[in-house]
Amino acid sequence: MTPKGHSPVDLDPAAPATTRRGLIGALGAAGLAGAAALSIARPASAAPTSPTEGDKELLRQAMQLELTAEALYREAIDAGLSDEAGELAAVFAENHVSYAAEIAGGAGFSANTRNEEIFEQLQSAFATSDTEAFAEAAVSLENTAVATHSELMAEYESSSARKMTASIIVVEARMATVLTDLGGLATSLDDIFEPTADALELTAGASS
Amino acid sequence: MNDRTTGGDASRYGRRDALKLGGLTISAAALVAACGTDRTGDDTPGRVGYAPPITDPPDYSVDDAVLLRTASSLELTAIAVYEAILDTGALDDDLTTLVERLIENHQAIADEMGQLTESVGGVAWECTNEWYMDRTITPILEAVAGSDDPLRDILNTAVALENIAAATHQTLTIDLEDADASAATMAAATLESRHSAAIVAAARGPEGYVSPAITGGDIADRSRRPSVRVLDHQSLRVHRSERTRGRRSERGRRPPVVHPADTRTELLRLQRTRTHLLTPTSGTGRPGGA
Repeated sequence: MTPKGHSPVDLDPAAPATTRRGLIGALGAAGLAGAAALSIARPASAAPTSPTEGDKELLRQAMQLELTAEALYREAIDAGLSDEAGELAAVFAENHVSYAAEIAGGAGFSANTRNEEIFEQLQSAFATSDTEAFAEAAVSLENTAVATHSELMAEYESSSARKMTASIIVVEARMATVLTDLGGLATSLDDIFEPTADALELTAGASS
Repeated sequence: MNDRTTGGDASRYGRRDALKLGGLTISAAALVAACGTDRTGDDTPGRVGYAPPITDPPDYSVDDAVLLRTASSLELTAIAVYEAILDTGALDDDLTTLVERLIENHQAIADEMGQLTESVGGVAWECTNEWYMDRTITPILEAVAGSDDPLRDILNTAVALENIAAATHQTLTIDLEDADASAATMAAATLESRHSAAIVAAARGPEGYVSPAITGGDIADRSRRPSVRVLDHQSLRVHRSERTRGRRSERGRRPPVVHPADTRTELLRLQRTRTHLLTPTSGTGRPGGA
């Protein structure tokens, strides 16, 4: 899949997406290629405080992912999602835009662009007023975001990028749990505690 | 000559005398500080009145083994608490199933922390955190036993425990030097965040999702169980400056938003005093261990 514009994000689905759950799974199926191999056993005490240039490239992708999530939640609101689901969508949208602002502020750029490719692929799934359908799309998005940020943790060099990302991960994990409960999606506790979402591939084309 | 002037036995002095002497000591210390550049001798601060001798904290470096052993101890503390909760019989079948799964997950994390401890050259810790048990857990469990609403307090305790564990692992993931250990603690923080959320969701359903404080509602009602929410900006907020971020509403107000949990917990603050930390390698945590 070819990214639009100059985005260094490549999303290579490993299998055709046939369902909303499958769509996000396909988006993230490739995972962060070689992220584990890139994990460097650098001493925490020797890590730079501020984001490095390499960090900033990855943080920009992370920021775009957050703004994409915000836009997707607003799609659901605009589609008429109401009551508890609508309130959650509004709160979660604010959370994601806040995280984008936090990332951008820490890295020294503006939080003003989303990942259009991800947005376009998930837009129809989020454009629903049905609570269960919304929850299914959103929980998959949140778990994918958690997996993606977790993979990026191994690549960041600076302590500030790692701290910021860690703080986002734990809240997005909570949001995923809430959405699972909202939609009644859990058939077992494994669905809550061992979600199968893979990380998005955000490395291809990234410049140093 | 009265008792106060006989000297020798300090117990004969009253509080007023002690204050006078204390003031004198402080004044003298200030004078020495200002004028005594060529003086020698003990330069520790003076002490007034009776007090136990100061015990220096153990002298050891806080390395990965120390942090991982402490992480293990927290996981095993959580298990001990959950087993005590199960023993109360206060939980229904669904909550019992959930707690049994939480125990299983915490044991898995403890096992992983133990393996990582050994991989960085330490000795795995296999018991609860005695410091934390004595000062926090035991009093809490005693309070729960005498509560007018044990289930509410049990659930609140469980949520707090998971939040503390998650935030502690979140911090450890930054502090640890070993890459595998750092990744493992991040995974633990993520899982324990899910634990916390699952407990609240199971107990309260949608009412427990988001604190009304986030949406501008009333948070005065604390009679429901548990009083905590999955997303509570007061406990998760990091920076004051983030509090009013977000887009303005139609009324022009910026709503408060849920913020990332980046706060150092009580446990991590106490790391500076090392009171709850375990020594790098000595002992296994088993009762009677070296």
